[in-house]
Amino acid sequence: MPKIKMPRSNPSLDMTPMVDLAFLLVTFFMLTASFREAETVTVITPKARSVADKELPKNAIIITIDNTGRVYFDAQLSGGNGPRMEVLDSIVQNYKIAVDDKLRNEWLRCGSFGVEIAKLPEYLSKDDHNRKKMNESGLGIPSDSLHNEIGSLALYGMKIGMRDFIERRQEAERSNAPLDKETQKKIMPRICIKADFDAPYAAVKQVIKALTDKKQYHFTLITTMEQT
Amino acid sequence: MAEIAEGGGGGHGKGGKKRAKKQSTRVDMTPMVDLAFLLLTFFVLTATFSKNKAMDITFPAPPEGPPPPPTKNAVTFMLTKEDRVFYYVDEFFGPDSKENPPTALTEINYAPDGQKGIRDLLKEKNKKADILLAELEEERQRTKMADTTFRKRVNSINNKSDAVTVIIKADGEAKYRNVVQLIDELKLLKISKFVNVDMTPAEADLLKAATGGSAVPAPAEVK
Repeated sequence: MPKIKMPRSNPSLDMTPMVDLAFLLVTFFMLTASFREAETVTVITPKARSVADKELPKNAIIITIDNTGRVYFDAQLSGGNGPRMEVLDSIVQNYKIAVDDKLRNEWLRCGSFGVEIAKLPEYLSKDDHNRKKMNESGLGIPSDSLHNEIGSLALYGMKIGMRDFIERRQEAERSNAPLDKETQKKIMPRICIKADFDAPYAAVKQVIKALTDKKQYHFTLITTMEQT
Repeated sequence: MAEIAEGGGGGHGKGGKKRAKKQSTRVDMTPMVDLAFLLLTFFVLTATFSKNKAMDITFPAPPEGPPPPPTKNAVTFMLTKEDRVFYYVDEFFGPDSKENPPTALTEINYAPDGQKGIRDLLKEKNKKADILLAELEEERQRTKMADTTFRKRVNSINNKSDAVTVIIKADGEAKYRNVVQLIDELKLLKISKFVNVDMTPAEADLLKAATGGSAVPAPAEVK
């Protein structure tokens, strides 16, 4: 009997569509990826369901409270480096600390800091790793009523943020394109409280008290959207 | 001279015609594909889609004199350690009050779905306003009401005397997440009358008894 010849199939298959897809996905993820900056403090924000559509404010004073209750400050104002430097100027003037040009440049990229204002120059002169250590060995920015540093810091930031906001609004009015309410809301300076979900409430309450003492009553609590 | 060596030495001389050998146009793509998948895996694994969201909140300015405690239609929540929460309704009566029976705390939980929790309690307490709010929500869906108008009308419903007032009192061992969870629940129910105040010593004692004797009142100031 003659042997039945099995047709030999070619073992190599066309991978082109798969490769196309793979590269498409690579491109997508590469373009959408935004790398998180190295943070000096990491917090896990609590979950909330009621705020599905609220974006974070663009013109923000960020007060971070970590899980032990330490307080950190950061100014992410919409004007960028200029206003941020002005915040430092206000601190320098009011608290009489010495900051040279090198440290001023460091201030622009240092993120949140969590030390007493008197220690700020020393803090800025260190590298990221040692800054983190310094944050973690201290008590954070004082928020008690005797040394209400966090309240003052927030106030400087809000003043500068508000001035920027007004300037932008006036500029828009001059060019006959007044900002609508939604846009105005987006660029309004806000105090954001970014506290860890495990932070003692007493610490958060004290920060809020420090801020209300300085006549700041509107806050934005930063939360994570809950997956349902 | 320089010639591409032709394979094998197959054709014996037959004619002098030289043909460039047809080279395969196929390239080995395996390394490239490997790399592509490596990158793909990396970006997929490092991508985080969860974004932080903002929850706006306004705290009242400290009043000039001592404020009269709201007692009508009020629910007071007392937050304490281990994510526990207690509540009492309306006015607080100490153990030595004459006309009224002393207030007792009831334990409740943070609305895990399907159980009777804070949400059900507040819905029950806020029945009248809740119906109005539901109607308003429906109207908004129907007429595409502007956000500002909607918020104004929500506030006017909330400011009526029969709407519930929520008082949040957290002791020194409550965590931040407890307060956020409670406020979140209030926002979902569109209850905008809520205040955050300190416990009175009598209330702290009551809470202490309810939790088994170790609750501490919130310290006036840390540090």
